[in-house]
Order: sequence, then structure tokens, then C-alpha cells
Amino acid sequence: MSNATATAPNYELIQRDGLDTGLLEISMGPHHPSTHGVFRMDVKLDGETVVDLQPVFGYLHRNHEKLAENMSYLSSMPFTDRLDYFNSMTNNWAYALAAEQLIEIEIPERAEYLRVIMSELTRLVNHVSLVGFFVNDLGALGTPLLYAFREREKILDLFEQASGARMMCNYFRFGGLRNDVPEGWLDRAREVVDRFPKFLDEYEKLLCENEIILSRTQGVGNLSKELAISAGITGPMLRASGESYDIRKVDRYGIYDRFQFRVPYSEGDVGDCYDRFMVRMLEMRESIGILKQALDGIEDGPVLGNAPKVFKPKPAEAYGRIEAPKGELGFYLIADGTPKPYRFRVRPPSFINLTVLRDMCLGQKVADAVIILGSIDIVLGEVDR
Amino acid sequence: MSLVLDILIATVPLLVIFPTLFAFTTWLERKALARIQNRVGPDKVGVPLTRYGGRFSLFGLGQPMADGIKMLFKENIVPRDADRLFHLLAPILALIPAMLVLCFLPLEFPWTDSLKPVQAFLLDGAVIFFFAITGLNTLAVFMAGWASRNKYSLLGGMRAIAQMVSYEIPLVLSAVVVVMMVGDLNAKEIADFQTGGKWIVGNWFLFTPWGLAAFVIFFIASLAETNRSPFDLPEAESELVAGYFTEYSGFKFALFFLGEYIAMFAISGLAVTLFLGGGAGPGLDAAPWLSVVWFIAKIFVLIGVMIWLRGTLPRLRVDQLMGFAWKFLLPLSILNILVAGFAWHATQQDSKTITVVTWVISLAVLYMTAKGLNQLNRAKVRPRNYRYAE
Amino acid sequence: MTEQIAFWILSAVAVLGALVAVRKRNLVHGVFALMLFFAALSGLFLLLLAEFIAAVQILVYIGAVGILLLFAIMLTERVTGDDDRRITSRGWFCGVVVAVAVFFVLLLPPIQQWPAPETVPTPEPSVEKLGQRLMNPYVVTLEVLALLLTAALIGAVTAAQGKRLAKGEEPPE
Repeated sequence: MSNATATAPNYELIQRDGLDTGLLEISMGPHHPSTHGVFRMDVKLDGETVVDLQPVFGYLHRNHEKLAENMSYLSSMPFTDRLDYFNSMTNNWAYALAAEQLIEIEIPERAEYLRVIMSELTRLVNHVSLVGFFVNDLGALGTPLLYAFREREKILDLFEQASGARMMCNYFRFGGLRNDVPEGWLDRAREVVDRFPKFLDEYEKLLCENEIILSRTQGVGNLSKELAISAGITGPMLRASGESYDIRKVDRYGIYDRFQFRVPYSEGDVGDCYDRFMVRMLEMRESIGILKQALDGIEDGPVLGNAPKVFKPKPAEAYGRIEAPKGELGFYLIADGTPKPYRFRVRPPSFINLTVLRDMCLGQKVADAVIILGSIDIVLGEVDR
Repeated sequence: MSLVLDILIATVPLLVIFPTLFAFTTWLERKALARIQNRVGPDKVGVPLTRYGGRFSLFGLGQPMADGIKMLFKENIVPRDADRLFHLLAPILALIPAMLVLCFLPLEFPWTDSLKPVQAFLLDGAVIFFFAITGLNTLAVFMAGWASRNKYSLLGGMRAIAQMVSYEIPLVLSAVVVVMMVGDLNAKEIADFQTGGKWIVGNWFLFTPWGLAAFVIFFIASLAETNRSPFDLPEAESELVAGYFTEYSGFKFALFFLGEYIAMFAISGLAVTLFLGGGAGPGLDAAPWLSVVWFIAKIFVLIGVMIWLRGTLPRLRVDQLMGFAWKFLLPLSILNILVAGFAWHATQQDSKTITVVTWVISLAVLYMTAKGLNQLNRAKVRPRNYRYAE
Repeated sequence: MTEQIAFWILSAVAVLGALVAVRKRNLVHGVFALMLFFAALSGLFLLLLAEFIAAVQILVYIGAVGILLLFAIMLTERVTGDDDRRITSRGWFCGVVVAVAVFFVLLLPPIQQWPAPETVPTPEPSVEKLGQRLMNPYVVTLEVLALLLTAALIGAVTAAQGKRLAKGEEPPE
């Protein structure tokens, strides 16, 4: 933790220097416009500067893991939707990957393609909303957010046409997908994907070189590479700190080895809010590339292998992980020969990324604490489970 | 008793016209923001507040009325530990100065012609009075923040004091330029000074180098004075929930809202008086009452820009906000006073070449200074490059 | 008649404000009462047609001094401002004597001119004249005052900044 003290200024010195003004303790949340759900930060302020910060969560705890240990493997698939409710498709995939290790099963080609398409669309949804919310936290009164939601809407329409639900898709099954996409869906998807870069151009023009955004985000909430790695940070946040770690490249799960794509990561070792913002902007372009390749390569065929609805895997352990939009999402299962998992454990990226919040916020202004939290990209459904 | 009657004739129209304009402005702001944000905005409430308003909705013009009624009937909640007296006084104190300064605007209503004695009493030092009384708004904000016994409110109130006191200085200093040029503190004299001239706008201070610089400084500082985005830190929604009026509900909240908008009108009205020629506009010879219309139209142009900025810009941080006032606006406005002083002496010569040279030089000096200050203060930020891993 | 009523109302408010400002134990209340007093005083100036002084009264005393006081309270006391400490005043008798003495010294000019002349020559107050006076005979005084204030400002900044501590240096006790 030596890095933590390096990022925060030495507070003892500052305090003795001026007047002793006493600290103001604010409990930001659980009801607060910018805590992205029921999250609480116990902030100690010296004037406007954050001296101490204690994240408090658990308000949304729903016993997810224990519930899953008391029902059959397939039954908890819908529950995974509710973890990170922005990205139900990727949650499904991570769980399916873990369970598919327990039962040897063949996944049809078309299902693999559709899985990639769905998860990259999810990545677009997640990043575009995150960027919108982030600029909203900066005080831009919703304009960028609503532009982002306009794009998100188009993708959610696609999800609805494919799975019947906009957010809680429950679309993946062990061995494939629940159903094939309807006729003409791929063309509509291609249309959405083709139009997306235009929106990104507009967004980049408006936001990425805006003087206020630059001066509010650069040098704010620094996260060094060492601290990021030792704290187990994953996803765009780790890449913003200068480490090009992407599970799509490392594990090449699914059929990611067939696509050409690059992983953007930060040049320096700063890892501030601007880096986290930009890495996501750049990642969206790469996702569009993957989507185009996948939409070109997909062929007709079945989408579901013959997986039984209820099965009793042999006693074994399995860990399935994917590069979810927020970071490494993993499901750890222990099978004991019954139709229910003996142990069901989620490795939620939001939760683990949140652990460095205090280190990033110390010594910053209270307004920065809000945008640092926004740049971590948390969803409380996943943090609290 | 005729004095009382005169006072009523002079003041009641202000108390009727501006709150009505306020109602319209809330609608305008919601509508304009909605269009900026790709939404529709309020469009359901019709004019006779019917449930079937959709049919006679008139673009939702009835919305402000419905809002007002809702505000009136909402419960007035006062926190248990709040300072009840100050909690009550704060919204009133926010409204009174804003209403009061409207008297200093050179609005020439046709029916006030016969009331010269009432107006003449105050008009002589109108500009100074204007700044003195708008400054009281700070106190209301602080009072609200302190009396609510809420930490967000308190932070908002403290931010408000620091911000408003800082931005008052460039605000006043930029107005000094105009006062120097006219040689009078009387708002009416200042407005009259700018009438005539080529194409109506020829004498406006906006179209002189020092006037332009002063106008830009004045407008930015007035954004901060009225807590408008991007300087809306005292009520920063994403940080302080609602800042100093977090604990206000019902009609007290409506009073704050009203006070804020009236302050916007007042300060835009002063900007119009100082830089945009007051009520000057075409058709005044035929119908002198048009000057009021022109005046209010110009106010709405400025308010439109404020709304536009609100829909566009993110918020500054506290230290950046203070730095901008003290390190950029203040030196620039002081230099602007110097430039205006030299320009005044140079243009007294009544020689075309000297005037043109003065204009070019002052424009260059102001531009270079603004550039230089910008370079000096610029945070070390720039767009970055990112690497890609295959 | 109207002026008479206004005068009595403003005077009553001024006295009340001053009394509350002194007697209130809550500092923030006290400061606001003081500001009420300043505002009433400004109104009295206005009744005397001294509008410039009235404006400056509001600008300087409420806008600057009052806010400075609020800042001081926020910095030194607990920010919530409630403090029930009672200021023990010893020697209140001397205070009363001094107050009465000052009061009479201020009243001295009218007492000397008693009985008052029937008509007082009313000066015509105008901002323009005030400005000309400041710029013509009193310009040096004005500039010296400005210099003095600037020096005071710089001095205050230096005093407030204190001695900068080098890294690792122990702060003086």
C-alpha cells in the first residue's frame, strides 16, 4: 500500500500549516444523485478536500450466491441478469462458460458468433452509458447522457427483438442460446453498427477536447499501474493505468481468436479519470470492428446444442471468466454430483474495482470524488449481489 | 397620498411583468433544454389547465401555471434542527434584492412619464445601487445554507459566498469601463448615450474593443453571480444534491426559484443597459413604448444564451472557478479599465485616424492579454495518445 | 409626513438590530442582526438624500464587512455556528461610561448650536460633485488611502500565509 500514500498528499503537513478548521463529515448516499444506486461514501472533508473516505455498501444485497446454491444450474441463469443489470448478456456468458466446463458440451458455430455479437453490443451499451453518466457527474446536465441513451436505445431494441427483454435478456443457455434471432435481425444489427461510428465521431468532437472536461478529469483520481495490479483491478480501469490486459486476448474464450481487434491502453502510468474515459471511448471503436467481422462471418445453423435442462455434473470445480465491459467477470462453481452447485461464487469486476476508491479520492476535492466514482463504473447490483 | 399612488404606479408593473416573464422563462428553459437534449419537453398542460390539455396544449404553455399551483400546495417541510426563523427568511431575502434592483433598470413605461420625481430620487447612482443590492443575494444563499442544518446546504452556502464575492469584483470593474466612458452613473443617461449612431447599433458599447471585452467579462461574471451553469457550484446537483436549497420544499423553494430568475432578468437588464444600448431599437420614433419591448427582447437574448450554455457545458471545480475569477477575469478587467481610459482621451481628439489607431491598438492589447493570461493559467492539460495492443 | 414615518421605522429597526447584534449569543444571528442595522442605517442616509453614501454603506458594510465576519465565523468556530458560551463581561460600568461619553461627543455640534437656526442651508448632494471633490482637492488623500489599503491587504496576505514549512520540518508549537 505504499503507493496509496504516494498518490495522496501528506495530509499531516497541510493541516498544521494553516488554520485548524475542523473536519466536516458528510455521508454521501445512500440517497444521492451521483452514487449510481444505493451506495454510500462516508467522506471527511477539510474545506472541500477529501481527507478520508469510507465506502459503505451492501444496501442491495440479495443473497445471490446462496440462492444459486439452492437451485439447479440452469435456474440461476436468469438471476445472473440481475447482477450487472446493464450487461445481462455478458453475465449470462460468463456463467455459461463456467457451467459448460462441468458438462462437456458442443456449442454450435452460429451460437458462438451470436454470443460474440451480443456481448460486443453489450459492451457498446455499457460504455456509451458510462460515458454519458460520467459527463453527467461532471455537471453537464444530461445532454451527453441523453445523446448516449439515444444510441443505447437502438441496441436495446435489438436485444428485445432477439430475446424478448430489453435489459434482463436471459438469452444464453448452456451449449448455445435460448433461441435464434428473428429474421432480418442481422441486417438491423448491421445498420445499427454501421451508424454507430458517426455518433462516436460526434461524441468525441464534443467531449474529448473540451477544455473543462480536460481540466476536470486530467490528473484527477490517479491510479498507478502497481496499485492497480496489486489490487486486482481489471477491465478498462486497468488498461487506463497502462497495462494492456484483456481476457479476450489472454483466454481467447469463445471464438475471439478469429477476430482482428486491438486493445487500447494508456501510454503513461497516470491512470486518471481522463484515461479511464478515453480508453472506453477507444474500446467502442474496436468493438465495432469485431461486430462487423462477426456479422460478416456468421452463417446459418442451429443455435443450441443438446444440453439437458437438469443435469448432475461429476464432482469438479470450474471457473469461467470473460472480459465483461467492466472488467473480469468470473463464476466459480463447485459441483458435488447433485443437480445444484455446492458452491457458487461470483467475481464481480465492479466490486473489486471499487476497492481502490479511497486511494484515488484522498486529497482530491469533493467534486472529484463524485467523478472518480463515476469513472470506476460500478453497478450496485453487482457490487452487493 | 399622490406620492404613494405614484410609487405604486411605478412599482406594481415591475412586480407583475417580471414574475409573468419568469413563468414564461421556466417554460422556455425547459423547452429549449429539451430540444438541446433531443427531448420534447413539457407539452401536455394546456392553457385552461384541462385534463384534455393535449388538444389545446399550445406547446405546454400551461406548465408554469401548473407548477406554481403544485408548489403552493406542497407541504412545507422544515428540518427539526433547522433554524426556523432563518429558514423562513432566506427565500424572502433572496427575492427582495432581486425585485428591488429592477427599479434601477431604465425601463421607460409609457405611464411612468409623469412620475419623474419618483424615479429621479434614485436614478442618480443607479449603477452603484444595483451592485450594492444584488450583493445581498449572497447573504440569502448563505442564510439558507446555514439555517437548513444540512451539510450539503452548508457546503453550498459556503461555496456561494466565496464564488459570489469573487465574481462581484470583475463584474463591477467591467461596468466601470462604461461608467467612465459615459461619465455618469445614471442608468438612463448610460442608455441614452448609446442611442442614435449608425444602424442603431453604432453607439453601443458592445461594438467597441473595450466594451466587447467588458461585456464578455460582465456576462461570465453574471453567470457566476446568478449561479448559472457552468458556475452552478452552490447548487451542484451531482455533488451537493441541491446545494443550499436541499432542505427547501413547497413555496419557499418556489420563492428561491423566482428570486434566481428575477436576478437573472435584473443582471441581464443591466448588461443590456450598459452594453447593448438599453431600449434602443428600430421604430422608436413612431412608437416610444417600443423601447420597453426592445429592452425585454434583448434581455431574452441574453437569457437564451444562458440556457444554451446550461445545456452544453460541464461544471467547473471550486479551485478552477476561483482561479478563473482571480487570475483571469480580474487582471483582464483592470487592464480593460486602463485601455478604456487611454481610449477615452484619444477619442476626444475628434480625429478619424487617431480613433481608428486607438481601436486597433486596444483590440490588439486586449486580445494579447487575454491570450497571455490564458497561457499562464492554462491547466497543463491536453488530449493524449493511446497505445494499442494487438 | 412620509419621511417622518420612514425615519421612525428605520431608526427603530436600527436600534433593534444593534441591540440584537450585541446581545445574541449565536454568532451568525448576531452578524445578520448587525447587517440589519447597516441596512437601516443605509435607509437613513437615503432619507437624507445622501444616496451615494447609502449605496456605499450597503456595498462596504453588508457586502464586504458582513461577509468577512461570516467567513471569520466559519473559519474559527464550529461551522454549524451554535455556541452557547457566555461572554463574561467584567467592568461593564466602564463600558457604559465610555458609551455615554462617545454619544455626547457625537452630539456636541448640535448642542453647541443650540438653539437651532430656523433654516438650515440644504446642500445639494450629488454623486457628480462628490466625484469631482474626490478627484480635485482630495486626490492625493485618496491615492494615499488606496496605497495604505493595498499595503494592508498585502500585509494581511503575508500574515495569513505564515511561515512555510519545509518538508519534514517540525511546526513551531
